[in-house]
Parts: sequence; structure tokens; C-alpha cells
Amino acid sequence: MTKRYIITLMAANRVGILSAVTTGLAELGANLMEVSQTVLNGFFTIILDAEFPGHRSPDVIVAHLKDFCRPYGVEIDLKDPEEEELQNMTEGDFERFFLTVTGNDEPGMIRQISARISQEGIDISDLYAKRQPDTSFVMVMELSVPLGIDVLVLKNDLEAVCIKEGLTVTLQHENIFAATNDPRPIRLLPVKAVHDLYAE
Amino acid sequence: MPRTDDILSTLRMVKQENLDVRTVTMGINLFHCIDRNLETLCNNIYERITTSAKDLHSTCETVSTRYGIPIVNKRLAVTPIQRIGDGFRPEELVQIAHTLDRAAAAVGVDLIGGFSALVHSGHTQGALNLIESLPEVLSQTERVCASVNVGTTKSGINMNILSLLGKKIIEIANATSDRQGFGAAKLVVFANAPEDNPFMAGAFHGDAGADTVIHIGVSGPGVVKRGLERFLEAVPGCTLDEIASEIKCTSFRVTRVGELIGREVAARLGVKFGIVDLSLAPTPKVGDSIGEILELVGLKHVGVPGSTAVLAMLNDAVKKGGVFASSSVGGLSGAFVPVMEDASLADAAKKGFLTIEKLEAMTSVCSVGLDMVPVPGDIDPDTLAALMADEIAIGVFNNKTTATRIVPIPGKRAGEHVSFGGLFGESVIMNVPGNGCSASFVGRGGHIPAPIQSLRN
Repeated sequence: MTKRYIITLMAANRVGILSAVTTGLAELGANLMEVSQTVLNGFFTIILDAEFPGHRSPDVIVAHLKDFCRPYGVEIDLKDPEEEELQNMTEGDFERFFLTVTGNDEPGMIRQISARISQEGIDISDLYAKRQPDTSFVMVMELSVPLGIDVLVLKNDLEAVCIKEGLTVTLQHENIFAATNDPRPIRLLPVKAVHDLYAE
Repeated sequence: MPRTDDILSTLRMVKQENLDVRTVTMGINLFHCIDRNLETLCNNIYERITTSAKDLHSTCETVSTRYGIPIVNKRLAVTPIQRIGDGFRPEELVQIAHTLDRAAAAVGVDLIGGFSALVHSGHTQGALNLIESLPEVLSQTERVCASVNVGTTKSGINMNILSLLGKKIIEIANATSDRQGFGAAKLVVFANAPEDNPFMAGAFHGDAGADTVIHIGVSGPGVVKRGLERFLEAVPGCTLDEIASEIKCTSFRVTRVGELIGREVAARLGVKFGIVDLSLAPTPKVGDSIGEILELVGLKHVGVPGSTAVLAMLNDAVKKGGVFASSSVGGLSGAFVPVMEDASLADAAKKGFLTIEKLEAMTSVCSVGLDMVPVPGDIDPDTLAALMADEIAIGVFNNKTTATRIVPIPGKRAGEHVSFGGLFGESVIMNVPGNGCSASFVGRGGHIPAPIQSLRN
């Protein structure tokens, strides 16, 4: 009998921090299912999907990790997936697009764009945004766009939001990036139609 | 998520470096339209084209939006009309051309290629009738493009037809003198014409293809140039082989864009995908020029010594990158050097660095040939035929495609300026040395035999 928890940890980045976290987890008998870590402006953050023995309570897990990572000043949060209402998008019900915004750093831009995107039921599955040394701004969003959304309308609406701020916005299906950066054969949608065509 | 750098570099190619898909060209077989009754034939052709291509424009727009890649032109290429219209008189062939023009307009494409004749081994009365009709066709229609294949490595060069074309091209120019002879810009004279070329004016749909097919022509001189600029900033002392490697990488990415767009358009239309033509196709826009790439490599002007060598290297690197990117490479697949359509070439011609003789030498290592070359309006027809024969010989004897698109400019002399506007560009009119000195040669007529390299079995 096992139990899965989602744990986030954040601290000022220092050498050895991941070693401490994973050692603590090992002592708790945890088995890692998925991990994502990043360092942003000198701060370390990690989100873990880990499987624990069934008798480990959330309080014990958090207390043990806090104690083990005390030298690093780590803040810890834990969620039980069974107690949360999770959004569930099935692969095949959506397509992945990338939204790129470049231009001057305008406060509130991400708020405006994400508001427009959420109206369509589009999930932002990944985001990278950074102010450049020349005070310009680059943002790349990975969007899971449900099938049936009119991409042209969405693109025009987003351009309308951005153009008055002097920003350039581009919305492109993920296949273009696979095609231009990956030497493997071109990926196409709808694949079935293509296979049928060439199976003559 | 792909690396942010990869996303931004792909974006940069489109937003800052003029990457586009220059043309999505639908090839359409017209053989089953054939009928002895002219009206029935024209109705069949109109029906066939408008049915096959009715969704071409909208599908291209959808795919362009999806990938954020501009598709500049949607075009059609049909079975050479010589085959479809054999037995019809020149004035009847003009009516067929008007049908093509109306059908192209109906489906929203800007050009339709295939008013063509293949006469490399000899010519039928049908081919002569088609060539006879060209001045009327190219002056009366807006979208129709014509081509004549006068030579192949296997069969040699049909000098009788070249001699005739020398006269006809001047007739075409004069018939369109109100547009500075623009009609001649819609006629290509070929050696070893490819049957899957998506680019105009020389596109036609070959007999060996599927009923309907999608071919792609990419662009990309601007992308190659900017990629090279960045590379030269990073490695200022780099050698030519390092430059060639950099061009290969860029060519790979440009080709992949073309293939993705082509395959998706074809899949959505339910037709076969044909080929990606790797040709670097310049535009008159500064920053989107083949000549600028040559200058970047180290030549002060296009046309100075070294130009042929650099162009050979560029052409080869483009092919190597493209062939790795796609298993469906075809068409012309090289670097175009159209004088009027390339700002840097036009500038070099104006300053006297690029002469017609040097341009001809450069065409021996690239595609396509003497392309969009404006010449004086008073050029002698035999001199024009001989000029074309030289270029065709380069193709025939080197087992490659070459072509000419020479435009006599009525009422203008060498050194004067001509502008067609848009993608057709502008240039100084180039001097043709020895005007009037080739009449005896051209007047002999007959056939230049196939070269020894044709015997490969």
C-alpha cells in the first residue's frame, strides 16, 4: 500500500541542496515518480511527485524534510492529489501551440494575455518569461489548445492586446519547432489521414 | 517544451530574416480533359482546375496561420498544353490560354504555369502552333506562364526552335510594350526542364506524376545571410569550409519549414505531396538577396573574380543541408541569380561589375540561368537565339537544368533603367556584346547533337 504526494521546495540556491532533499526522501522510503527543478535569479525551486509507504503521514514527511534541509532554509509545501480537483486534459483532445511575446517590458502584460487565453479553456502548460538586459521582454508560453478553437481568431485577439503596448506576438503550432530543430522525420497532424493517403 | 533558444531562433527566421514559403504549387494533370471540340476541351479544363484547386487558397491560409509561416504565393502548374491542345490552331490555343487564366483567377492564384511545349528532340505542328500563339497569349492573359524545353542531355539542342524563339520573344516584348515588354518575363526557355518545378514562370505538371500533387518552393536568402552574419561575428577568421557548414545548417532548417508546410497542405487537401525545391529565391528587398551572401563571404561586388567559386560553394552547401532535411527534394534546387529580382545583382549590373558574360559563367554552377535579364529592345533575334543557345548548352553538356528568361525592353538601350515592380524588381538594361554577329550560326538551324555524356548505358 503506497500513497502519492506532490511536494514543492524553495530556497536560495546552494550546492548540495538537491542531495539533501533526495537523501531525506530516501530515509522516508519515498520513490520519485516525476521531478522538475529550476533555478531562477539565484533561487532554487523543485516540484516532486513521490510515492511513499502508506503509513507515512503528510506531517511526518514535511517535518522530516524540513529538519533534514534546515541548513538550507528550505520552505516546503505538500499536496495530496486525491484531495484536489485536478484538471484532466486527455492527449488527443488538444494541440500544443507556443505563444511568443517580445518587446518592451509592460507591466500587466502576462495578466492580460493569460486572461484572454483562459476564456478559451486553454491551459498554459509551461511558461518562460525574462526581462532582457536592454529592458526588453521575452515570454514563451506553451499552450494546450482544445481542438476546435479558431487559432486565427485567438491570434488576432492576442495581437490586439499586445499591439497597443508595442509588443510582437506569435502563435505557432509545436510541429514547426520540431521540424526546424529535430532531424527526425517531420511530425504531422492528422497523422491518420496521411498514413491512409500513402498506404495506397 | 523545446529549448527557448530553439523557439526564438525559429521565430527570428520568420520575423527578422524574411523566411517564407515562396510558393505552394499544385500540379494538375489535364490529360483526361482532352477533346477534339474546343469548347468542350475548355470547359473540361476549367472544371478540372476549379474543382482540384478550389480549397488550395483557404488551406494554405489555414496552414500558414497554424505555423506562423507566410505563404507568399499559391500557384498552379498543368500538363504542357502542347499535349492537351495538339491539333488546334494558334488562335484556338489562345482561347485555351484564356480558359487557364479564368480558372486561375477563379481559385485565387496569381500564376498558372504549363502553357508549354517540349521540343528537345524535334517538334510537332502542335508545338509550332503553341509557340506561334505565345505573343497573343502572353500579352492578353494576366496569369498564364509559358515555357519551352529546347534541349536535354539525352537529345541535344533543337536549334530550329531556338531560332524561332529569338523572333518570338521580341514579338512578345513588343506586344507588351505598354508594360515595358513584361510578357517576355512570363516565358522560360529550358534545357533539361524538371517536371516537378514549383517556381514560375517555368512550372508545368509532368506526365510521370500523380493526378494532383503539391510542390513547395522555399525562400531563404535572408535567413542564410543573417545566419552567416552571426557566424562571422562569432568567428571572424573562419575559413570557407566553416562557412559552407554554417550554410548547410541554415539550409536544413529552411527546407524543413517547406516540407512541413507542403506535407500538411497536401494532407489536408487529400492529394500527394511532391517535392521541396531548395532553390534560394531572392526578392528585390534589401536583405533578401543572393548577391549579399556572396558579398558577405568576401567579395566587394557580385561579378568580380571569385563570384563563380563562391556561388558554387553556396549552391552545394544549400543542396547538402536540404538533402539531409528532406527525402523529397526536387525541382531546380539551387541558387537563383535573377538580375531584376535581386537588389544586389541589379546594383552590381548597374555599376558594371556584373556583365552578361560573367553571369553566364556563374550559371554553370547554379540554377537556373540567365534569369530576368533585361536586354536592349533592339537586340537582333539571332543574337538573342545565340545567347539562349549558349545558356542551354551549359545545361545540356553539364547534365543539369539551365534556362533563360531574357526580356527585351522595347525602345530602351543598354544602361537605361527598367522596373516591373513587386517581386519582378528592377535593374539597369544589360549590354549584349556582339549584337548582330551570330546570324550565320543561328541561320544554319538543325540540331546540336546530344553530348557524349548522354551515352551512359
